[in-house]
Amino acid sequence: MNDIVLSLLIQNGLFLILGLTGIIMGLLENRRFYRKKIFSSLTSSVIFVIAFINFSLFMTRYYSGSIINIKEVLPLFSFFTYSFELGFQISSSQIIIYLTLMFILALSNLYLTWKKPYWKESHSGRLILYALTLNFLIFSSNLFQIMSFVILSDLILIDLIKNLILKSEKRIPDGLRKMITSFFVGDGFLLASLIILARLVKSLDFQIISNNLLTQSDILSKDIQLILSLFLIGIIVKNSLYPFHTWFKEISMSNKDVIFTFLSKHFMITFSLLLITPLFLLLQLQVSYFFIWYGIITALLSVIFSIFLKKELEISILINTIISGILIAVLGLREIAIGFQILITLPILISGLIPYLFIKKTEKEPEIKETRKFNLVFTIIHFFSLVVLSLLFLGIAPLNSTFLILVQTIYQNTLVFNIGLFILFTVIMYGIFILVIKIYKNQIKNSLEFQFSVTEIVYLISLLLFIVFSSFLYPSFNFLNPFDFPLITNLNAWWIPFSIIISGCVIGSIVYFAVLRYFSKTVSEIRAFSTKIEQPLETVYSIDPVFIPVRFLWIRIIVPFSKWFEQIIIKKFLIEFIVLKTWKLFILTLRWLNRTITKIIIPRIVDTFKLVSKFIRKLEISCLRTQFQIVLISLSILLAIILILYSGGLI
Amino acid sequence: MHYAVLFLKMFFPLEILLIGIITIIITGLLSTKITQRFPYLKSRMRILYGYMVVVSSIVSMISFWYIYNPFETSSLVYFNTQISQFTAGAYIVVGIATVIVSFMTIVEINLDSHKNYLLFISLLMLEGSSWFITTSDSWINILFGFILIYISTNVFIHGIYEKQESGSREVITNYLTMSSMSISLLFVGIACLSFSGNGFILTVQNTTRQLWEYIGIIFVIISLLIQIGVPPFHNWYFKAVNKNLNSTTSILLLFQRGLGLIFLIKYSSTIASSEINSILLWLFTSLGAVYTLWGVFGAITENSLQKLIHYISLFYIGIFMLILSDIFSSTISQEMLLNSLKSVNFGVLIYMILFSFSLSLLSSISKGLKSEEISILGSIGRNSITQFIVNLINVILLFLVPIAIYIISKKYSFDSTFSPRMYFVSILLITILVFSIVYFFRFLKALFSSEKRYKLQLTRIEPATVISSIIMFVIIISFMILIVQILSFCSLISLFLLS
Repeated sequence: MNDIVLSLLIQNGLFLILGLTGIIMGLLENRRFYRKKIFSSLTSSVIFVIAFINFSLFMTRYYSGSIINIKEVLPLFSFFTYSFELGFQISSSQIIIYLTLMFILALSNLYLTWKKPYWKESHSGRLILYALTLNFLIFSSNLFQIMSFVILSDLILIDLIKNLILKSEKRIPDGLRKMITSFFVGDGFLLASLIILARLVKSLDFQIISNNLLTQSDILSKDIQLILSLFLIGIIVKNSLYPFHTWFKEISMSNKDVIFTFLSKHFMITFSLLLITPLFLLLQLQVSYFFIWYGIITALLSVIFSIFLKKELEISILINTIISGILIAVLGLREIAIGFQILITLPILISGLIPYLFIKKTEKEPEIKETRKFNLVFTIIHFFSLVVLSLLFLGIAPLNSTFLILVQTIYQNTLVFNIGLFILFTVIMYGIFILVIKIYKNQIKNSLEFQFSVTEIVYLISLLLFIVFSSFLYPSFNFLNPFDFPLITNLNAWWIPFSIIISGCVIGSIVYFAVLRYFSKTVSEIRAFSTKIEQPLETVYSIDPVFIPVRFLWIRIIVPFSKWFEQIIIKKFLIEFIVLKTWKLFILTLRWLNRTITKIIIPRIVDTFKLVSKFIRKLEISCLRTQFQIVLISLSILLAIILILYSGGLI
Repeated sequence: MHYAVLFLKMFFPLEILLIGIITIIITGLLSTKITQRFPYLKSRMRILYGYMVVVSSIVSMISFWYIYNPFETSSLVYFNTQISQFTAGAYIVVGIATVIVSFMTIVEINLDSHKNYLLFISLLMLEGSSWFITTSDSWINILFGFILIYISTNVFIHGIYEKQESGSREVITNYLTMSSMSISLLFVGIACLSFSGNGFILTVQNTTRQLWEYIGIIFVIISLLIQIGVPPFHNWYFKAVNKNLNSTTSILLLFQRGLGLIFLIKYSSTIASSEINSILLWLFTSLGAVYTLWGVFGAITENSLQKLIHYISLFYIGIFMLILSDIFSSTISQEMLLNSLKSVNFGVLIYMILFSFSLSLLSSISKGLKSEEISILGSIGRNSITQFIVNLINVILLFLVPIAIYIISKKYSFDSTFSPRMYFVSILLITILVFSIVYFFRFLKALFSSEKRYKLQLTRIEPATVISSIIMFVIIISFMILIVQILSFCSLISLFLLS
């Protein structure tokens, strides 16, 4: 067995033990604060240390050049050409996703333990079980394993969220129901697309599928479009994108930050399915226009909404939606490498924005405000982190390569609407720029006045370190670049759009500040307009185009119709009329037959045979004389026959 | 000297029986003196006689094997006598019967009748008669054997009905008349056969005076049918149903019937090549049809247990007749002939053992419950579970055995013959099977449902019948276990009959 696979197995065993221990500890009533902290720190350190060990093992193996893809599987059973297996397949893209996820999970667990009082050992236990399922999901080598563990991780996450909500609300909210339905509907679509893929190449194994896809030239584009569109619908439903966007807000109302972070991480996993499975090969085969248009329109709309709306929760949800939209569009443009990088940075960005977005307002506690002191170190760290996160959000090259997509839109030969796309992307980028300014304008002011706690500082520092690690090392090392990311060596090729955007941003910001400074009247009018428009936009945003019609259909049409159908068709017509009447007829005929057979036919037969029997019994001749006569008669008959035959010459 | 030794050796079992008879006679003559000397033996003399019979018949059976073994499968011919497997089978079955009947006789007769040694002598004589009937090729020996049966059974019935109720006189007269008639017809038949030019040898040769031969055959067959007691000559057999609910007479008559059947098989295998075989074929087929239908229809409404058993036995005999009728067919193959003879031999052996078992079992039950209605079977289960199981097995065997025997006999030949007789027989068999289910269900219904409540009263008859029934049960079980060996034994018998 491989050493990485062995350490993965050990890790999973530890995860299982720790997770169950956490759940059992949650059942105990005697709770101590320190016990919780010790347990959570232990779990986080276990997650992180083992993830890092695996990563370094892979690194050494990679640089020695021995193996690139490691695969160890346990075959369960097989059905025709489909073999169902359980095991690990480790490639460079998978190990990066794994490392990021494990790091983020460990960090958020630690952060929540120290910061939030309602985060208990049982939650830590569930989190570590969730991490266990993610291990199997990320390193899976066939479609069977990936789908089963997607569903399992969904279940564990639902359990965790339900636990968190019920602690505060004591009843199941509507959003939870919506979430569960969307999860499973989305899973159904994902499953359908993967099954069609498996049917197309007649295998479940990733290696065989990718080989077949590369060699098979006669795959119809219709099939590819079908698979990809089903997958996209699955992503939309499961990731709470438009038109399934309302439940994300509803579910995150209580314990905002926690549920929000977990769900955003889970969305990242759904996206990563595209890159773990051989679906990315399909993406590379042809441009998917529905991916591009859906992504761009979603991103554009959510940028506009997020500029005008003011609630933190809505803004954070919209940020998530923006990045998702960009990611979808990028994948549709066949830029898998950039998509991969956006995917990696998405959870980091969201986790980093959490302390800023869900900050506690200090105005309500003026007494504490006075006691606070200005700390230079903390402020520097704070500013640094703000700068890095905003750069990440904007997509500046080493941190995040979203900007590079503009270059690609220019140089795409296949795209018909490349100029239109370029303009739209530019608008989105500009909108993000405004959004960043909007978020930090007040936050900077506020955050100067209060002090971050040590926990938050540690959290931010580690996040920043990880960002630096992942993004600066990512393109420069070949191993961390599984999808052949275009390195920043040929800068002269993309200086034209880059300069346009930079100049546009600079001009735009200058204009923005100039307007703020010199046209205060118009600014106030615009502000008034924005406050006026906020309410209608919020109502538009909160309209549910899916669940409300479905509910309407269910309550007004399906349920009454089914009741009518049940009462009129089934009960009155089918059961009362047809079944009961035929049954009565059947019973009557049976009764008649029974009566005729048992009372007329059978007794007569029995009587005749009884008569025969009695007659035969009477032949026990009582008189000896008759017996003699019978002997003589039979003897004489036989003798007569013999004599007749003999005289006739027959014998 | 050599011939004298051979003679002594051949008749060794008979000599042992003779020694037994002489011992019993001496003991019986001296019984008054013995009882004067040993008064406590007065009521136990019958036990002494009985065990003498048992010991001598068992020793005789064993010695039969002793003399038979040196000759292996070849037959020993001397003094117109052939000793073979056929003799062995019949002799052993009759020997077992003798043992059982002697057990039952010990308890049937009066306690103080120490002079009843004639009963036991007659039992030994009956056993000896089977020797003459089965071994001999000479008509004189055969006639002697039948006369021996007649005398011994007569003596036994006289002795057993000595001081009993009024109905016994009728039984004795019936038996006496019909048996003497059978023997006289047999004598006439033998005389006719000797006129035909065959002498007194049991063969059919193509002589000039064939008419005498045919008449002789008819006489012999009629006499054998009377001997067996089948319809329409069944009067005396049904009269022998005992009002005192004892079964000794019935079992004894059963063995007379069995010996008659054995001789019928032997005789029909000799006359199979006769020129009137087409008449005999239809005679035996129609007799089989009549007997099976007679037995089955009679058993539908009969309530008396002993009579029911008699009717079922008619059904068995009908089946034997149907199987025997095959050997008269001119188109029959050697293999089929062998199969028919084998299965009918097997059937007769099974018949004798199964029916003695049933008779003793049911008589013990009816003796205990003081009734011979079929409905008494319902109260067995309440008293003893072993009796219930034994009865159930008995009923199932009574139902299944005849059909099973027929199927065994037709194992190789059902596909080849498509004569009208075959259709007739197959339709007949289906009809019989359907109607035999009726009596089977009557038995089952009686066994599983008890309408009246009977009280089992143990009398002095009980232990002996129970012992005999248990012995029979063991024998039946061993028969079922050793069925393959027995079938091969029966095939040896039929091979002998064919030679």
